[in-house]
Amino acid sequence: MMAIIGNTHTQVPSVTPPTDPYQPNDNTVLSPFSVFWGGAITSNVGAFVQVTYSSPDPVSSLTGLPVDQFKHTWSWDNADVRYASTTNIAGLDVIYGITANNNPTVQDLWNTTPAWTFPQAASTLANTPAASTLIEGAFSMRVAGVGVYTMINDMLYLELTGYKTLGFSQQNLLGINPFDGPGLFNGVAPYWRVALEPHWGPHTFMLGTYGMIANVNPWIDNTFVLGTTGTMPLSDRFTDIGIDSQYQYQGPNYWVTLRANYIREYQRLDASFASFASANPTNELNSLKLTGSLAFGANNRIVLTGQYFDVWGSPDANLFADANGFANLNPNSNGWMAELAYIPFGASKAPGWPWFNARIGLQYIYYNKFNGTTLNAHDNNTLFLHAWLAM
Amino acid sequence: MNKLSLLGVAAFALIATAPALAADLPPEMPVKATFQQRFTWTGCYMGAHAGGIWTRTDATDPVLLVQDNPAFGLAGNTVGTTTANIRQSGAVIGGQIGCDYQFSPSFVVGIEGGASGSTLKGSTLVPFQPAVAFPGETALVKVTTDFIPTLTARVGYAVDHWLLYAKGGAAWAYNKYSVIGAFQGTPFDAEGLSIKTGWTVGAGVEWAFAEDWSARLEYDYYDFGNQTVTMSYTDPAGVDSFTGPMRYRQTAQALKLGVNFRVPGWQ
Repeated sequence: MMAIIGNTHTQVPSVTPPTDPYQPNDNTVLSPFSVFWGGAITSNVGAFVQVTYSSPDPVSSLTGLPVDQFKHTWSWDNADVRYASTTNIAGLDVIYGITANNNPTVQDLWNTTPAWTFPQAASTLANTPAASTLIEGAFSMRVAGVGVYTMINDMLYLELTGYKTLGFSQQNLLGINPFDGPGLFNGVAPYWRVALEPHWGPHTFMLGTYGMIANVNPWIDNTFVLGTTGTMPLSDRFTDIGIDSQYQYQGPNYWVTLRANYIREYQRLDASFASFASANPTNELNSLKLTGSLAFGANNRIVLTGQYFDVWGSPDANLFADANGFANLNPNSNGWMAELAYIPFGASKAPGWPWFNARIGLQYIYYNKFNGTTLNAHDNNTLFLHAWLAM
Repeated sequence: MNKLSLLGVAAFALIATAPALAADLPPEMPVKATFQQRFTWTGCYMGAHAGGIWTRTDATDPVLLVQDNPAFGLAGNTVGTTTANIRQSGAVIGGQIGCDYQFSPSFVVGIEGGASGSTLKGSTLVPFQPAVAFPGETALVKVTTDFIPTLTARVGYAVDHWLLYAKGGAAWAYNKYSVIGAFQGTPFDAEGLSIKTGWTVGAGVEWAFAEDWSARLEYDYYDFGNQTVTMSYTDPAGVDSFTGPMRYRQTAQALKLGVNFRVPGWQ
């Protein structure tokens, strides 16, 4: 089991009235709370499955809007069931297998890709930039994918997976609000991953690429005012290409990790353009994250992490209109993030260890630009003090 | 007989047979050069490259897009077809991951994925038609290409630490197109984006200057074919807007210098 209890303070109160069940600012909330199951099922098959409780959204679950009926506090979360085996081909050690999962990149081996990227613990109440690429979680837990993977010579990782969205009722049954997602896939969305990771002495370096192409039929009416759960006949095509890299150095009593991740998304918006949701028939969105961390102390008890993040893309008068929470008709946001984390119990003989573990974190997010503007961007700066408990 | 005695007998027997073995050997063993592991291109690598790139883009028809658009009230007025020839030049910088296999014994085959960021930009002015009817009125047609991923196979012939190779495969160009100007006093800025899928062929020479490192010089030709792109314009006030198709044909040539780190441990 895992729980994150956090206090969120934003520079300007982020919870707008009516604020129930929260205060306008300085809220301490348990969110998320997760139950995990992981391990071997047979000698070649294993699974990782997560079920999560999330705190209710401010306002929306209390407003009585029809869409609220599809919101849930309990839902399935990351899940990955896989088959793995080993062989030797031409003198090379080969690990190969099949993965079945519900979140593109959750099956990945590195923390550069979106599913496991920093910050792993974040406030669920603070405002965050509204624009992100599709592969950065837009369809997490809304899809089911099956793929094949291999690791050759402990250095070259290759994977090809196909994803399909779950139907409206299936998503809802699993505790996911389908209308919080962009729509449903038209056909199978291919996902690929290539990574080469040489390692020598205490050094490990990885350079890789990954990506996905998805045709998405947007919801006809994601407010459910029309009472339909249908999707438009036309689709938008999203082509995401990610390039990522990681360097790790293991010192005698510390780790240094540098990570870089760049995603470029090309959007061909046939459906959104036809319905005037977007003003352009094509758009582009970019996401860059540069992260560095230093873990030191007995068993890496103290972890310092810093990140620069930047999201930028094509201006669009409809997609990034003021009414959608943007300014200057563009999606751009950037800023810095810093976190100091302390693991009090480490490998010590503290009461309850190893069955009880904790990680105390203090995280600060500073925005230079937020949803298209530098004006009042600092209002969204967030201080998040949290305790991450695992048992 | 105790065990020690038996060991002694066995040792004697070994010693006794030794001269017979020596007698069967030729007087002198052929002596090879000092053993040194032969360099092989088999393995995987990652690296970076930089260079120059030049493209030619034919854009058809920017005059029709603007001049014939109902938003300007002149639909059906354009005579003939205008194709703008745009030359772009710029720099490329990027990275690549690949794997090679050497066999029989000097041939090399491999596969490589690469991505280049580029500074490619180009533009040209085209007059509206007929020029006498619209004196001095022009549209500026611009093309920007800033990202070119590739997936290629290569075949080569190795001469020890040198590899001569040819490559070919798929390439993509991320393009942004603009048609900017004013027509009869009404300003416009139509834009379109595309990923153009095409093919590439190239050739190069790679030199392994150290056990784990190699450098290469490579020439690539790209053909991204024809593509129709929907151009759109919405003025900031959201009052005047129009869309229309334009057709683009693009080819490119690049000269790149690269360096690869060849991951040890594959032989």
